[in-house]
Amino acid sequence: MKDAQGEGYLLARDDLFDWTDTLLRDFAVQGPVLKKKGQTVFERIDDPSSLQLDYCSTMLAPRNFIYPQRQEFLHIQRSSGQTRVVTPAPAARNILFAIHPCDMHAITVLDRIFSRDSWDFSYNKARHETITVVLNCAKACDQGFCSSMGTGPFLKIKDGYDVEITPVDRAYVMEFGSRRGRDLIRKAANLRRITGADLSQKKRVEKKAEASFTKFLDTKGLPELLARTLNHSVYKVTADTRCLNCTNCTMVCPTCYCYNTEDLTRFDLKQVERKRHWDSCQELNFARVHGGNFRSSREARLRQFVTHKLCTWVEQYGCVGCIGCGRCMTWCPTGIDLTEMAKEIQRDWSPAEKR
Amino acid sequence: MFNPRNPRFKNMKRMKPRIAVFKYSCCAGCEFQLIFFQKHLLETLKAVDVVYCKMLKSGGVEAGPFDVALIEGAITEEWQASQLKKIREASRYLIPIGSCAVCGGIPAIKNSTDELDVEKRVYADTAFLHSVTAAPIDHYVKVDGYVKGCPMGERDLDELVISLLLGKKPVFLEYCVCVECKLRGAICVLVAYGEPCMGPVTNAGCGALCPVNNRACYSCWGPMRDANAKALADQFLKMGLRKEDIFRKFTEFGQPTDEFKPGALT
Repeated sequence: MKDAQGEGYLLARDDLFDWTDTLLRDFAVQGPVLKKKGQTVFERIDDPSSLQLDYCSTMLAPRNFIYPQRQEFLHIQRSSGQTRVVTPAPAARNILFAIHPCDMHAITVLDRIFSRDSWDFSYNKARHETITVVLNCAKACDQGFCSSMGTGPFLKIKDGYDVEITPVDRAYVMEFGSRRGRDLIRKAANLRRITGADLSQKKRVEKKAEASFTKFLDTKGLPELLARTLNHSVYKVTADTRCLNCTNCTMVCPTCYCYNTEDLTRFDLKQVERKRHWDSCQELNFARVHGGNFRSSREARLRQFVTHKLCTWVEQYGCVGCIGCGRCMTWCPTGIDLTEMAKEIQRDWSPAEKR
Repeated sequence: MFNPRNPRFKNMKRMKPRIAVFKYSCCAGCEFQLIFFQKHLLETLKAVDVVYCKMLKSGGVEAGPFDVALIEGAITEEWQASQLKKIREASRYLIPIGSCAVCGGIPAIKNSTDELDVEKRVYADTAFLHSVTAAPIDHYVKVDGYVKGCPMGERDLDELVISLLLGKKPVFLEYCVCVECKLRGAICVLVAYGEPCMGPVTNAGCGALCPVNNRACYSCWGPMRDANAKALADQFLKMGLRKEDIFRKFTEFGQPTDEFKPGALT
C-alpha cells in the first residue's frame, strides 16, 4: 500500500497547520510541544501553532498515551455484603501526532509483546483507539543510531501505522498505512496526488538524512556475541563507577514494558483499587522472589538491561529490543552509552580471537 | 499482625491494636503529621488505641506492652538509648518514623563536627549534657520496617496503618526518586538543566516533589538501599561542584549511613 504509485498525497507546508486544526475538532491530538530550555514533550495541543515539528527526541517516548505510567485495572467495592467490581472507562480517541519513525517502530514492538504471548486488554484497547501520524526525520538526532538498527530515519515498516509524513521541499508527502489513515489525510484541503518526481525527492531527503548519522552500532552477530560474553568486565566496571541504578534508562526506553501491580486498600477497608505502574529491571527489588533476589548486584542489573535489549529479546520476541533512539544514553545522569559498551565487547572479541 | 476481623479474636475483649509514639531528638514534625493525618484521622483513631503519645494526650502508659511502637527522632543522648531498649522489649513491632529515626536526618549533621564544639556552640552550661554521636534507631535495636520521609510520607503511613488493620505485611517503597519522577513525566533536572539533583540515590515516596517543580532533590527521604553515592559524587565533581558542597549534600540527611559515606568522602 505504501509504495504504490499515486496512493500518496502532497500537502503544502502552510496547509499542514490547517489540516491539524481540522483534526483538533474531532480528536484529542497529542503532539510535540516546546518547553523551557529547548525540551520537547508530547502533550495535548489546543492550537496547531504550538506544535514543534523540528524536534530531536523527547524524554518520554509517546508510548505513555497507549501504555500509561500509572493505570487502574479494577476497582472493587463492598457494601452491605455485596461486592461490586468496576473497570475504568476507556480513554478518549487519541492522535499521536508527528512521532518519529523510531517511536513508531517501538510501538509495533510493544504490540508484539502485549498481544502475542498474552492479550493485554488495556493496552490493546488503547492501541486500537490511537491513530499514529509519523513524521520522518530529515536529519539524525544527536544520540540516535536508528539507521544501524533498521528503524529510521524513515519509516521502514509496512503496516501498524496510519499516516506517514515526509518533509520535502516546501511541502509534505503524505502517505497512509491504513484505511483510517487515508480518511484522515482526505480531511485536508488543497491536496494533490504525488508524482514520481515527489517520490524521488523523498528518496533524496532519505539519502541525506541517512548520511547525517554520527553514531553507529554493528548488529551483525551481536546477539550471539553478547550471549557468550556475559562475564565481560565492562559490566562490572561500568556498574561500579558510573551506574546509579536510577532507572532513567528503562523509564525513557520506548520498548520497555515491565510493570508492577499493586493493590491499594482504602481506609474504610471496603474499597480496593488494583493498579499497575511502570517497573524497571534496574530497581533493586525487581528480581526479588521467594527465597531471595536473583539480581542483587548492580552489575547483574546493568547486564540485564544491555543483554535484554540487544540479545535475549531476539529469541523472546523475534526482533531486537533496541530501536536506536539514543534516549537511554541521553538521559543517563552519568552518560553510560549502550553502544560504547557493545563496541567494547566487540573490540575484545575481534574476528581473529573468536574460537 | 493483630487482625480484628479474624474470627479467632471474636471473643477477645481488646480488639484494637495498641500504638505508642515516642519522640527523641527531632522537630516533632512526624508526630504532628501522624496526628494531623490528613483526611484519615477519625478512621484511624476509631481503629487503633493510642496508649502513649505526648502530643495527642497527657499521661499514658510508658511501660507498655504495645503492639506497635513508632519512634521518631535520632538518638543523641544516653538515656534515650536505654529507654529505647526497654520499648523494644515491650512492643511487638517497632518502627522508626521520619528521616531522623530512619537515617539520622538533621540531628546527624553534627556528627561531622567535634562533639564538644557542637555542645559549646548551643549550650552555655554543658555540665548536664551527656550527648553522644547522633544515630538512627536501628543502630541500637532491631526494627520491623521504616516509614521514611521528612516529615514521614503519607503513602507509607497509610500503608502501615492499613496493613496493621488488615493483618498483612506492609510494602514500603525501596526505589529511588527518579522512578516517581519519570512516572510523573517530569523532565530530568540533573540531565536537562544541570541541577545537582540527589534523586538517583534518594529513596522514593515523596512523589518527586522537588524535581517536578524543576528543583534539585536534596535527599530529605534519606538514602535508597544499595545507592551508588560515589558515582553520583563523581558526576557532581564533573559538573563543577566544589568538594565541600558535595560533602554537605551527602551529610545533610543520612550522615551515619553506609550508603552516603562514599559520596561524602569524595
